[in-house]
Amino acid sequence: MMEQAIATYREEAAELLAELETSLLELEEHPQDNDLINRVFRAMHTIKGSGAMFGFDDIARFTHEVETVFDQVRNGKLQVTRPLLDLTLQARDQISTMLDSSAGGPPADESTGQRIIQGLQSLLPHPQKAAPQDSQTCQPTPPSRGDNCQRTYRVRFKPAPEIMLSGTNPLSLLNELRSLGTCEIVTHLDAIPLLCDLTPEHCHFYWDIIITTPHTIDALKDVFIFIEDDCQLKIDLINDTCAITSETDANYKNLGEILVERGDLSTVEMQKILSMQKRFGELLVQEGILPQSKVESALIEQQQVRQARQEKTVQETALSIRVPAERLDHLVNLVGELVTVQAHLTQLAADKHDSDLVAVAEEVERLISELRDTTLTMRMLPIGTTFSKFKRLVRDLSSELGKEIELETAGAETELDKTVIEKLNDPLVHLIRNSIDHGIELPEVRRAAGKPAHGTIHLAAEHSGDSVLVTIHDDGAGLDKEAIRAKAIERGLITAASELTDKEIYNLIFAPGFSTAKKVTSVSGRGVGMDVVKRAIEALRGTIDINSATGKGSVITLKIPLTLAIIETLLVRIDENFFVLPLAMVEECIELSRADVEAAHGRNLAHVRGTLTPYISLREQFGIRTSPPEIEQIVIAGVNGTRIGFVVDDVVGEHQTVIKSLGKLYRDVQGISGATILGDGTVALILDPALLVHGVEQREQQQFG
Amino acid sequence: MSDLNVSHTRSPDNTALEITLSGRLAIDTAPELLALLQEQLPSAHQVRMNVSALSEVDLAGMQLICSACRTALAGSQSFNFKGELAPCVQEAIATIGLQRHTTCKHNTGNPCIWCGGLN
Repeated sequence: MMEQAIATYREEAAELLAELETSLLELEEHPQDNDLINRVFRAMHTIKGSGAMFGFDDIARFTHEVETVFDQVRNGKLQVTRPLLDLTLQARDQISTMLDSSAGGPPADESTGQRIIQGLQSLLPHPQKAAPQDSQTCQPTPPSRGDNCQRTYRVRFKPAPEIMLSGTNPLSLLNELRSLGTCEIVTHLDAIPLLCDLTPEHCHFYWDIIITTPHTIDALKDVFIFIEDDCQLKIDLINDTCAITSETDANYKNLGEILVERGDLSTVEMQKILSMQKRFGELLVQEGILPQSKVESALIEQQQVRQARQEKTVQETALSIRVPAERLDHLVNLVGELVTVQAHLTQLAADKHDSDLVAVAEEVERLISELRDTTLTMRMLPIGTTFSKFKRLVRDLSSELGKEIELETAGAETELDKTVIEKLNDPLVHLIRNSIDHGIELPEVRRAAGKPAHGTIHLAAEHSGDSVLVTIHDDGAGLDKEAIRAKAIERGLITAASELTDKEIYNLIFAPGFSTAKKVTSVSGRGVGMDVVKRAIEALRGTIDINSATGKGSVITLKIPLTLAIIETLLVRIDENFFVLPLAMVEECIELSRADVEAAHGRNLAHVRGTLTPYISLREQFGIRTSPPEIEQIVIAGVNGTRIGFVVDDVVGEHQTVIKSLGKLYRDVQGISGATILGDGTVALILDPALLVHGVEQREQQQFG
Repeated sequence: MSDLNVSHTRSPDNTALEITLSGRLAIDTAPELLALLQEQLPSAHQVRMNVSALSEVDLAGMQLICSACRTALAGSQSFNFKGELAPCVQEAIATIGLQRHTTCKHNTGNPCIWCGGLN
């Protein structure tokens, strides 16, 4: 039980760290945004609180130190500055390392942690700098305001019955509350059932806590922050010694803001609180501090934000559950098996000419098709999870290289299969690194070229049929065609006399070991990159396309299929053998007669509406020795922007293909990316058109130099 | 292996039940005590629980004792403690916030039998 809770903590902490990073980077752009500051603070507070609860004391101690500094930011005593963000980002990395280390990774360097903490403390205004830290360190944050106000709150805390099963001990929360001020804690026993109905692992106690504290309501809420979804919590301010004289607008905002965000307040209660606040606003007006219109305008704005948040919280808690990814993978595999069996059933029904059986088979087919779509959707994740990592990459690398680069993203909500997103990460890192290093120029060069000193990389994702287009657009120098050409000649990839289109020149950068960088930096220039990128994208059954304009920048477009598990294909036959081609790549099918072959004089070229289209005879390619039929079929596919034909005996039709990977023995077979099982149990190989073409090109090159 | 020791004795006329606990009464050991209580409690007129030798008790443990008390009172049986409350139990009463000086509706208006101070 505890192991499961710890695993959940690790997962949640990783998510919180990602959120922390995103918020910190956004904070860099909007340093005055209180909402972002609160998000940063809460992420840290939750990491700390849950860490202490699940025995990650080192993480809790370290995070506490960082949190203490950020509390000063939250209270407006410390400004958000670049050094502060740098150190906080480093602290985030340190926490991440500590988390990995607890899972068996390399140990975190304590001196790094010390350095970060010292750096952060040196940013504090004087009184806090010398403040000694308790060795336990999971102490409450200091009073948020330097006033002498004592506030009394009524807290109703009713944990969900199952709370203890997840390893949470409500008593530690009560103790944390006690450390914040003078507490009167009253336990309610009325929910405790008789022995016959008692589940001993459930929590039937609930509490009313009357606490008088110099802390703001934020500090109280922070105590419960990491179980807010697993409890009913209501906190009311019932007395404030300085309510009128020293409340500020900022604190006023916090009061309602977080309560609504937690879903602790109903609309009616919110109205009640708002009406209380209105009186306070009226006082402000009376005192002549603010005009009526400003107070009203602020209230309306806040009310809207609260409502939006309340809806969001309700939706999130009601509509989502956490399921381990392996379980979803297993489900997808089972659905895959089901699709194969269903194909078999459909075929059997058709063979037996039994109309009842056919009707059942059709019904099963319809249901399975729905099941398949639903299951695949369940594994979809927004690509934004990957995008947010790149902000950090761009920030760190650009400052390392002395460049000013901003990353803009669009379409972060575009969804892709989880496994595709995971595999897309590395290629995108390579491409963005390239844009930073080769694409965007140094600020002075940019200014000299009449461009803004600030370079922009635009990362976008959008749906396009059954694929997603991911584009990386930079406004840098663009690809240097001459340099690529020269390098390609030097490396023997092309001859000096070769006439190549722009696109063909750009495609040369995908050759293994190709780099035009004049010097090797830590970022790029080692010539390992673009070929790896291309292979990774092709492994995803995707394509990559480059466009560039000198002086204006480059656009790299990745076309990635939505899922890897089940794809739509075109089933073809050569003699007794079946093959499938990804339908997304297929453009058209035409006939190839003996006469056409003879007319081409041994060259594999077909006339298609006046254009010559090269083709590959799969019969020759796979060494199938039987003679071809009188009329063959050419399946024309778009491969890397070129139309290439694949000659087969017969086109059977569209086929829903459940992808089965081939065993290790077949790993190096070029042009075959997997296999699938047809309805009658026959195995059909899945063709990889790009690799087939590549193989033929290589052989031709060897043959003809 | 459970580190809670539970034993019970019956008076010669079988009407009084005495349960003695030692060791650790916690979320993982509470089911053992629950099973004993469910088996033995219904047939007893008087229930006494000796918690003086408990070395550790958590929220689940305290909750179980409370439920036992309530069940006994609901069946018009008497429920009380025997001997001192172990320091860990006293501490748990304070931590959980169980001290009270009001009467208990389940105990015919008397102070809460186990945290009210009959002991």
